[in-house]
Amino acid sequence: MAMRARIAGRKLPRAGMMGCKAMQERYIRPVRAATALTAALAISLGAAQAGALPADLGPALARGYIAPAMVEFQQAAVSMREGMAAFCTGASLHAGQTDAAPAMPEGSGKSGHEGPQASASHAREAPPDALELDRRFGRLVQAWSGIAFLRFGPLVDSNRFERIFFWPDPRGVMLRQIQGQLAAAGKAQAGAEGAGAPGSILDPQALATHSVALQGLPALEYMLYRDTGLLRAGAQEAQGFAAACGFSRAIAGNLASIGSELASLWGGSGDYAARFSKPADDNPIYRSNQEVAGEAVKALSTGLQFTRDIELLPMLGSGPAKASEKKAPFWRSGKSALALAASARGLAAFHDAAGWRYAADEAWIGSSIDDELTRAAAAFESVAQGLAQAAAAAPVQAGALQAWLETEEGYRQLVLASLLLKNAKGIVDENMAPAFGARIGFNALDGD
Amino acid sequence: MHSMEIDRRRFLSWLAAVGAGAAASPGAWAAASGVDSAFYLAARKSPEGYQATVIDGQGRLQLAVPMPARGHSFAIDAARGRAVVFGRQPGFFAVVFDTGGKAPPRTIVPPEGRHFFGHGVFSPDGKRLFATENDYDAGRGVLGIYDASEAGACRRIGEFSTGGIGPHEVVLMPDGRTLCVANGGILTHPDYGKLTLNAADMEPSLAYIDMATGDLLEQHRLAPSLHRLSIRHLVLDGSGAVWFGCQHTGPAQEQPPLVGRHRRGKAPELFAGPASVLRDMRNYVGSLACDVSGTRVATSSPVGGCVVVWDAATGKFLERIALFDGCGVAPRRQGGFVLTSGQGEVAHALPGDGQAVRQFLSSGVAWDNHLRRV
Repeated sequence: MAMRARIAGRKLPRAGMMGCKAMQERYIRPVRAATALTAALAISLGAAQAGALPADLGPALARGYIAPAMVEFQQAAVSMREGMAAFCTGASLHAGQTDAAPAMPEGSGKSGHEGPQASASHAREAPPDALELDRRFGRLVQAWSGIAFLRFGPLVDSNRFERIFFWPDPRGVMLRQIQGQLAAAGKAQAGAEGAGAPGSILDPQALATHSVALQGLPALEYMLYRDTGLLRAGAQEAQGFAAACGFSRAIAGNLASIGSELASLWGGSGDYAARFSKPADDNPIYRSNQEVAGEAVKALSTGLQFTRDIELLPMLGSGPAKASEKKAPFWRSGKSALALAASARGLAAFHDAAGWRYAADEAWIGSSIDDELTRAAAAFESVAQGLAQAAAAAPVQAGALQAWLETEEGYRQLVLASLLLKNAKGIVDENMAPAFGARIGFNALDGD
Repeated sequence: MHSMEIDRRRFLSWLAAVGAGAAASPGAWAAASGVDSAFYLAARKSPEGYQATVIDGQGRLQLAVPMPARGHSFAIDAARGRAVVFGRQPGFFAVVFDTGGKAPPRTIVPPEGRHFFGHGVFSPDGKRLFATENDYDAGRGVLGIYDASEAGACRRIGEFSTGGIGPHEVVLMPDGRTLCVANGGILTHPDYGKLTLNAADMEPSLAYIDMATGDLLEQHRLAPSLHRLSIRHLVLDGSGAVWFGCQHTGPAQEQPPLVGRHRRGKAPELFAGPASVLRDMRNYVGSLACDVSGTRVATSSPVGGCVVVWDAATGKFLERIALFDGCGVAPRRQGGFVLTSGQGEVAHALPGDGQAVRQFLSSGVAWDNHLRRV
């Protein structure tokens, strides 16, 4: 088996060896023609395995990646909430004003997915301006990308994923609902400042009971970056500023509270972290270390599939002339490339944190996954940096990625990244999963 | 919409390549052993590509009809010796074929803005074909109605609402007039494959529809706390009750019952079975079948690598049969079930045996979700 696997590994096409045209023809297909994304990819356990599972797989993943990444999301959301509050009221931010974040879990360090925009200051004296809020939103988008693929347990429970990220939304539900709600809230509030009435979308607690489409990042992005968005020049003087501000603050507050739940469930004394870290016969979710491994492999595989098939391929279309940035997540804020880079970095860091111990003749598997993900992240980062440079000191605007996509070189970079993600998923499914006894069945892989 | 155009183009070029009459493997039908006259339909992935096949109870191939992409399940018109295989969701093709390989296959393409979900049924007189479909821009489920009469050429002549989102399997009730539809509740759009777009607002239901008028005769939803329990697959037991199999899309730690029974005019009943068995099914049922006696219902879980058998009268758990990646299940002529797996295996599960006995293993073949007895 090892020999076959190695041959299969060598056969994997390397992006660098192929011309752009060939890559497009082979790899750029709309998702409906490609393998469909499964709602619940499943891994069957019990097949023979060659690699050895680290005994502390669960704790290694929980402490080495998941908990710190959840804390980063929570802190980024708190920073967004504070920034919004100060921006809306014209107050200045002081260092001591920052909400206390939960204690960092044991062993947590940098989670490896913080980008250049991640260092929002908590000690600013002046009220934050649009540029500062844009930075904070960028940090939040990156932090989200670092946890979005952990789509099991707490992120699935209580619809947390959808509440944070109701996307894709091909029927424009979010837009329709926001416009309706804003019109109603505007009337009700009649220009008043501060928190909304009980039950209103201007109140973070009440917002959590409203439609998921209103609660999360796409809604916040729309409020900040639409043509008449809060970060546009003159927004403070525009009619409806108070209602827009109230709603945006409520979303940021809602995200911070979801983030706090996630950080707590995955934290040192969190319920879910304990289950994930201590598989046992009487554990209701993970009976064995194998099942923990299955969950981790599944997260990698579905995360790669989501990033490529849902976030990246639709925007690429069938060629540069058909490319459309509006099919990418976070296009309104010009943060699509940043989000994709953070996803790839996050997946790589998650893979690294486990400490998978491959058999000697299968060591290529781990290094190949790392390699492909690192290269994919670099490709996305290079796009993000290119866009940032073109924007000089100003935030990257919607439309910048579109122009980039319409150039042959720009398009090629993203095609390359899609190929790298495809390769990484192929190695995870075909080589990594069997190596750790998490064989994925044909029907189990993509059920119906 | 460019992507659907590509699909259509690809499909048309496939049609041209396959040709009208060349789809059946020549002479394959003649190889039938005659020992067991029961035949089964299954879609599969093979080294030759995606195929709809007719096999005997031992898994020996009788007929293979090529398909442009992965298939799912079948509508069967036994009286006229024909069947329709539907493309797996989001399916943009269906192929009508003669199960004896005696007539050329005919293809059906759904209209613009619709795709197949993979299941369908014929009316008893063979004049109508009903297929579960997605009206994806409106986000609503429909039954596409096709004229399956000789002169009709399988033209689409209309559609009925299914009263829900994401209708998956449809079965014909014993009255020969009412259709029962499993509205899975999952909103999808072909631009995003099978991704669930409405996880927070799912509302699965069981709907009974008059096939002549489209009237929604009766509709049942499970408890609100089970709104993420997608009702997907159906089978009738010997008493005419509808058995349904579900897939739970909520958190893995929630393990709601996955199997239920419904009798017209009553509330649906759910059967959990022993906790360890429920856990083994891993929140997933992929296919159902009722045995020839009409008293035993089998539910497969490829995710859990097992088939679980239930007593149709009481809803009691009877046995659990392990089969890695096993999903296809159909009644075995002499009792028990025939099972197929994504690993190329065809197996028998005799009543009370508690195990799958391999009959045939085709290397390089992956049997798809459903196995149907002709």
